[in-house]
Amino acid sequence: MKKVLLRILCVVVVAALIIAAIVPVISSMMPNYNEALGNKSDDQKIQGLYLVKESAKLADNVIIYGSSELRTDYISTHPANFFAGKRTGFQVNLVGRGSCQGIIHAMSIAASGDSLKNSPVVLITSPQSYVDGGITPDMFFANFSKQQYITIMYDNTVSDDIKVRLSKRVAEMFERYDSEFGTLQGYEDVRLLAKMGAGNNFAYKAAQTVTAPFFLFSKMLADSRDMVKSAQLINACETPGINNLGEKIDWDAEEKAAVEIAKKESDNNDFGMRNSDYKKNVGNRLNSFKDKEKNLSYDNSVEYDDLRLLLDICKEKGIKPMFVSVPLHGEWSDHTGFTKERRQSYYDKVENIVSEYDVDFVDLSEYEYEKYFLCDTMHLGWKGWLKVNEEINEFYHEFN
Amino acid sequence: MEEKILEILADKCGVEAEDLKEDMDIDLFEEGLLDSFAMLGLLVDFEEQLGIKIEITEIDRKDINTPNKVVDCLVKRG
Amino acid sequence: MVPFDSLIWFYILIAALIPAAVLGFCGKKIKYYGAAVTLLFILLIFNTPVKLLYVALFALWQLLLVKVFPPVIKKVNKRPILWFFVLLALLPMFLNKFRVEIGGNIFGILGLSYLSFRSIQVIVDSYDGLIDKIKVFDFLYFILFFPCISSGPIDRSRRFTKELETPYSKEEYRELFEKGIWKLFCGAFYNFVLSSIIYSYWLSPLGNSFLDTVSYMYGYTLFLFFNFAGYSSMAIGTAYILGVKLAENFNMPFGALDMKDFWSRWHISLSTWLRDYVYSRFVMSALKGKWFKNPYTSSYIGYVLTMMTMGIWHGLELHYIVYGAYHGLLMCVNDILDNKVKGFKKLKRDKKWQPLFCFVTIQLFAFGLLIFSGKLF
Repeated sequence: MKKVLLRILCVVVVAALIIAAIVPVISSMMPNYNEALGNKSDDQKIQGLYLVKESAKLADNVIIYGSSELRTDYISTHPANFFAGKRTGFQVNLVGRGSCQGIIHAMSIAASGDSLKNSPVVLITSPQSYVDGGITPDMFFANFSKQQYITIMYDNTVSDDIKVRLSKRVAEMFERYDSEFGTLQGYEDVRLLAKMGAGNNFAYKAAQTVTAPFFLFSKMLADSRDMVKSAQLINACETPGINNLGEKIDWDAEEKAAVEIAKKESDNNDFGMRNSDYKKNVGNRLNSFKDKEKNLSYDNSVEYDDLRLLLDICKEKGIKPMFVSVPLHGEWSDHTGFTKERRQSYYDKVENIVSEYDVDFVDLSEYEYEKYFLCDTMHLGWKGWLKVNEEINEFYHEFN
Repeated sequence: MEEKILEILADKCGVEAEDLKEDMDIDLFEEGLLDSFAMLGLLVDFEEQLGIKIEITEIDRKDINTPNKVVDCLVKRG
Repeated sequence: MVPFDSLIWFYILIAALIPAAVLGFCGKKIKYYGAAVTLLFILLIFNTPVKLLYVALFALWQLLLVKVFPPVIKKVNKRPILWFFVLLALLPMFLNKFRVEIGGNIFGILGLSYLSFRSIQVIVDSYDGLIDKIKVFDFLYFILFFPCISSGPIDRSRRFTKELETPYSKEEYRELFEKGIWKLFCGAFYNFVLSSIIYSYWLSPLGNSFLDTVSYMYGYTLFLFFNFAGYSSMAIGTAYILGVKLAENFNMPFGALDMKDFWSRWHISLSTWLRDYVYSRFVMSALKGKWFKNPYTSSYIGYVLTMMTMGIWHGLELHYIVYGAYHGLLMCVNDILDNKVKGFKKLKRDKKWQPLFCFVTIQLFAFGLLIFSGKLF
């Protein structure tokens, strides 16, 4: 028996040594971070931790958390195009894709440790996120990151309040997913962690301590996987020429140029929407959209709670972000019956929440009727991005 | 009593009681003398002819796999 | 949480088994610690309020039945009373199989069919006078014993409760512990390596052509064996460490010489349960009552009845019922060949001919599992 035990012990020790060596070994083999990755929004930035952390180490990287608007890099003024080559002295880093709503960014930032403390952070929120129920459970889990969540739950610098609120949200998402789409497989460990985290009593805390080795081990594996995937992305990314001109921008001239392009790219409709988008989304069905949103309201959404959670996390981490509130398309909303009154009620609600925090608030609601501000029914367009760029530029230079 | 038991057993095995007595430790199942169906019949016969009731879940095959064990088992209950 | 499925399950399992092993190696009773571990895993497995409520209702219902049954049967010793109680014990299973909604939810708990059979065994055995006292604690521990909660083996209460009361000597426990660890590892290897490989590389790429279906038949047979036998092995291994010698469920089914032999090697705990509580009882009643002129008729009808019960026990879907009928028929043919064809049994015992018997049996049960898989209809 003693022999057997001794053998088991040997195997355990050897295995532990190998496992303990994984992270240091991979770390030492990591290629240097490539800033140009900032121009593309990759899933690994949303669900991993490594790439954003590396980017945050560079003082001239502005990290922009957004959703579907980040993919509109076919617009000439999209930040990745506009600030290419560190035109005014900094590099943008886009984090997000469609349906990356408040809670997803909240997780990402909460998991970042103290790496974002000295970084300029920009948050973009879109009205469409504020539907009843907020983010849908399928989209939540498509963007959810086990690595981030475990990191948060075992990070002592994150307050219990944040941990409990996040856990409750995750547990609720499991419930909603199970009832709407059938039991979600492969998340047994996270389910348990969410349950323990949301419980927040002595028994659950004890259980969390008992299971800590397991979760820290999972986290280590996830961190390793994150690094390996990040290395692949870094190696595949071309290094662009960096001009670093520190150019002073003539914003009026930029606007004129943007409008010229916008005119050319949106001449098949009166809404100032990009031709291909209009053709695809509206085409000859304009009448079918009439009054389609006459019952739509953004007044009661879980997304407001998620927004609060996101801002509370920023506050706790000492991050003072720039917060961009994207407007609705005025003329289009009038057509679909989403009235000015109800739109205003949404803008007010966001403003009320954001004004409670120390945030650089960029409220774009006054540009609802500005032509070319959006490039389709909802995403920032030629003028919209230009306005945001101007604000980012100012924010960055004030930040440093 | 023992005679009677062996008679019933021999009848189920399709042999004479005298043949069984030759080797009282022969494995009835391995030799193909009994199968699970015949065993059920045996239990029914014991109950009807000797008034000894044995539930099927009460015993295991290995408790009654030789003539000796069958006799023991029944004598204990008789 | 799905039992024996995720890494976190195994982490918690191992952590929970360490104190059990310490108790065992000290020669102490593991019963009460084992029950606490079962409670913990019940909470983990049935991790929503609704699931927990259902499992609690189910356990209390069965407890009520086994407690009420003995005094009732003492007063009115009639067989129909037994039938009535068996039906009541099966009620939750029927509610589930017929998809009866209760408060907007279909009643259902993991492993319901397995749990129901465990309870029926207690009722029938107490009718037979084999169980004289049913302790609340022991019964609940038996019926909810977590290693075999979701897919067996279907254990027997008399052996189970006896084991709880008699602590093992240090030597005995050491042997049990080592076997348990071995079974856990083997089961995990069967389940997570072999059955996963067969599933991903053999079954998943297959289409619907005739040849693909033939290939699926063999692949599925192997897959199900490794999956199910692996699961059973993990359950048995866990139970061993908790001091319970859970019944075996598989014993080299691919070496079976005929279908009767197959059923003594495949899903053994179910087939012996059905043998003891359906087939034997039917045949003995038929013999006693002289229902049929030819005594063998009772055996044939008994087989069909038993195998149909097995089919329906898996589910009310057509392929399960056909699966039951198919096996009932095979058992009858098996019986007829054994009894009516002179020399058939002898041939089966002849080493030279055994590979042929083995081969034919594999084809027969593989085809049965193809029906079972639901791929045909």
